[in-house]
Amino acid sequence: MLLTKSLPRPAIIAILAAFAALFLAGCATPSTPAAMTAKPVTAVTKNPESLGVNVTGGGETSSMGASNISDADFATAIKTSIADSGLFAKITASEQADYLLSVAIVRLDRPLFGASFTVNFEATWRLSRRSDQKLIWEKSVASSFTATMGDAFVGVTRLRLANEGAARTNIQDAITQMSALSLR
Amino acid sequence: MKKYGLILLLASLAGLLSGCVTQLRSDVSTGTDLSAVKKFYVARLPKDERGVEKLIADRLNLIGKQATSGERSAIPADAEALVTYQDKWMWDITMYMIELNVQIRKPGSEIAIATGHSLRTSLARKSPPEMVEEVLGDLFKKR
Repeated sequence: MLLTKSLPRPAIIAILAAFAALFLAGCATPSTPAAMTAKPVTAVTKNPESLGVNVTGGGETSSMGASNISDADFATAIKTSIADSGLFAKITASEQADYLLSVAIVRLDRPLFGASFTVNFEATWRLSRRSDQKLIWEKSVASSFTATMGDAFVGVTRLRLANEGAARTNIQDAITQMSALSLR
Repeated sequence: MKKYGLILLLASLAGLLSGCVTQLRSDVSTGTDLSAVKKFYVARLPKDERGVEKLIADRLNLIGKQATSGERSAIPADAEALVTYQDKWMWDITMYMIELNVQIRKPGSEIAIATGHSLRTSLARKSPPEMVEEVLGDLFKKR
């Protein structure tokens, strides 16, 4: 009421439009599984067994916060990437799988501002055999990705692209390393 | 009246943009018992010129651990855990620590066994020692 009395109608419309633009352009969106999925890696070893994937350490994205990577979205990206590579014959629920891949997101180091956003990402990857709980492979994989103004003008979008790129690179690197493993 | 409207708008905008967001989160990997770890080494972040590594080591000593700090390459042979961190700072009237991430790692492989995170925007800011206390407190509470 205060605004409508003190400001002319065109000014109110302009301010409302500016606020709408601010909110629509500035709302952070989470990293998407499709954009985090690694380019197909040709697996050296194609294992006939099944694999379950479990991710921890991720976070949800709040509209007023910074773009984040959720456990579920990162798990989906990992599952799709591994299925595409043929590293394991089947991706299934963890309780039914022959092998379990546990991935913990350790660090998602995001810049607060800047023209180019470089995100540093680190995850601990653990592959274990479910039958005897034997740890087959454990590795800390670090990756980074830079998104520039040319990739996206809006900051929150640029940050999301950097997050997705860093996650994608991490998955690709981990799959490449797992491809060289002999599970026999 | 026009002035009041503009002031209200600016205040709303400032409130929305700065906010008072707080996040505190920690994860300890399955099978890890942090209470069993006694000797810590805090590796200084190369670009850190504020001595955050000393704050972390001091806090660890205060809670009954044995902690030293220094360059990452100078980790003592008897260290049972390596502590790394990333601190972010922001300016709002004065500089303040907006975010602190801490990782506790196995010394050899440097695989993280526990992680802690705190984010506090300007209106909810705490001093660096308090941020360290908050993150480590939450981490060791989970053990």
